[in-house]
Amino acid sequence: MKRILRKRYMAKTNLSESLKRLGEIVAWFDNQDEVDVEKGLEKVREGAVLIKQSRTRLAEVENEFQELKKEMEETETDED
Amino acid sequence: MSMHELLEQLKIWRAAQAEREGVPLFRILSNQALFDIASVRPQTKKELLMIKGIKGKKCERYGTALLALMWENPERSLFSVTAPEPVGEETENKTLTVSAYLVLLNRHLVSCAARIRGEVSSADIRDNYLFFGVRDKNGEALINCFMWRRDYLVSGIELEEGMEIVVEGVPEIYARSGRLSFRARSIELVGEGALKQAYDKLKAKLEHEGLFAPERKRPIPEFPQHIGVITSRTGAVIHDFLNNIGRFGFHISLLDTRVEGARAVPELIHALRQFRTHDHKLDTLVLIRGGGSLESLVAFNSEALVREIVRFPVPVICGIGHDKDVPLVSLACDRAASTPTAVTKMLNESWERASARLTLAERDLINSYGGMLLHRRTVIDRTTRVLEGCFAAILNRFGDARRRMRESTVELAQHHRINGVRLTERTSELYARAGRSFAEVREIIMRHERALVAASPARQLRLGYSILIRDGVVIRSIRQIATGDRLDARVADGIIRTTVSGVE
Repeated sequence: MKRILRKRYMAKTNLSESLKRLGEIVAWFDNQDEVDVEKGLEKVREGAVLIKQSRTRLAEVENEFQELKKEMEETETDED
Repeated sequence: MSMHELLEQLKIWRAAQAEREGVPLFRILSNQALFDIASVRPQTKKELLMIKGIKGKKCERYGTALLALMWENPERSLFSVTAPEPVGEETENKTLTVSAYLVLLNRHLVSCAARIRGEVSSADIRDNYLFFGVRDKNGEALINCFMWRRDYLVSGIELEEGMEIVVEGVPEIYARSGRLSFRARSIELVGEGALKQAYDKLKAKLEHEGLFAPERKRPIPEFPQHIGVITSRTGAVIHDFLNNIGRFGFHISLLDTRVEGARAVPELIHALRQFRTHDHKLDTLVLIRGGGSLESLVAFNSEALVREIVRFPVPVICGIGHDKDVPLVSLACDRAASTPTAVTKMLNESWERASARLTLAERDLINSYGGMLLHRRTVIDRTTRVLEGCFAAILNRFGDARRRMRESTVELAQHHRINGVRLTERTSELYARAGRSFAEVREIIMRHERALVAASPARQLRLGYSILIRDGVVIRSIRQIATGDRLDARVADGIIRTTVSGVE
């Protein structure tokens, strides 16, 4: 359960952000005139973590389905 | 009758009334108001107005009916002790007031709800309601209809005389006039021709308003998760939808509505409002329905529904199957498809793309860093080559120098040799020259020797000459001597000692 919750949390907060950040990292490499291998390695490490997390989130997660009660029925039953 | 029983009666009345008006229960009266009425049992409209939730308008509309219920259920009122004549279920034996009787009649008439088809004979549209007549084509029968303007607007039809329609509703006797009127809840157009005409007209109108403009469309959020679905619970549509939506942890909330017929539009609108007013945190709303003819899709060409969709706070995707004419809601919504499966594709899209984007990002990252390392190695390689070049140049210069040195040595040796030869040559020349010089010198010396020998005093002495010497000094003058001096006279073979006897 906890795991599912963490995944759900990640979906909301991280996936979009992670992809954006990954894009930034790739762009960083593209824009480097000076080659800084140390910094590059840092970026690669960060990217690897993001990729791993995102892949975990993209792994199959069951959907939740609920049928809502119509309001008129709710009004009818809520005090009974 | 107990308070609980009265409350039940009130609820039955409310349900019937709601059905008649085609509105949700709470729009008639709240549960609290019913409860209050059952406990207080007001006997007059004035007393009724003291109940919370019953204002002038509601009292006007429902007062008579509600009070009739009180009279049917006489018990002590909290307000009054003079209850009117009771009206019971066994009406045969009792005398009723007109209003009580009409209430009774109307309660029975609820069960006579119907759909009636006919031509519009007249139409009188007021501010909040309208009257119109519907008659058979042959003109033999007529029924007068009443309709609330709100319901009329939802129907999306402009009544005109001669128009063929289907009205749906409940008959009711209006107490004031004693006339029967059909309380219409919805009007539908009949016949493809009329529908098409109405469709084209409304389409042009909404288009002119800009409701279909591409710039109004909102993008489906990236990674949608909370999805509201409005459709019919029964049928293949919802199953297709649920079967094809990806397993990305979607939260799907369904509101079951009718999607065809007179109740479809108010139910669809109600569902949209329910999603809008309740905090469902939706990020996308989906409205789906299977395919159908223009006639069966009338609800999705409703102006009221279109406007509701346009003002829905999050993007709306419509998946409505259709023939030639695209439903107006599909034109007004943010994304449209014609099948529920196509809608799921739109929802799955960003999730599936994310997977590809990840792979791409991973590859780019590896390539970029690989490129970076390669670049660094190239720099190192190049530097190494440059250094090697420098060393090689230095070594080359050493080689050169050594070669030159060797060459110089050889040259020097040659010089030496040449010089040696020259020296030897010169020496012999010198010797030769020297030899010649010595001979000359000897000649000269010999000549001089001869001359010297010729001039030697010894030779003179031997010739008879002598040399006078006094105290080692050769006497060359008489002035050097005096009488009596002892002189040595040197001759060739010895010395003669003499004394000077006189000078002359």
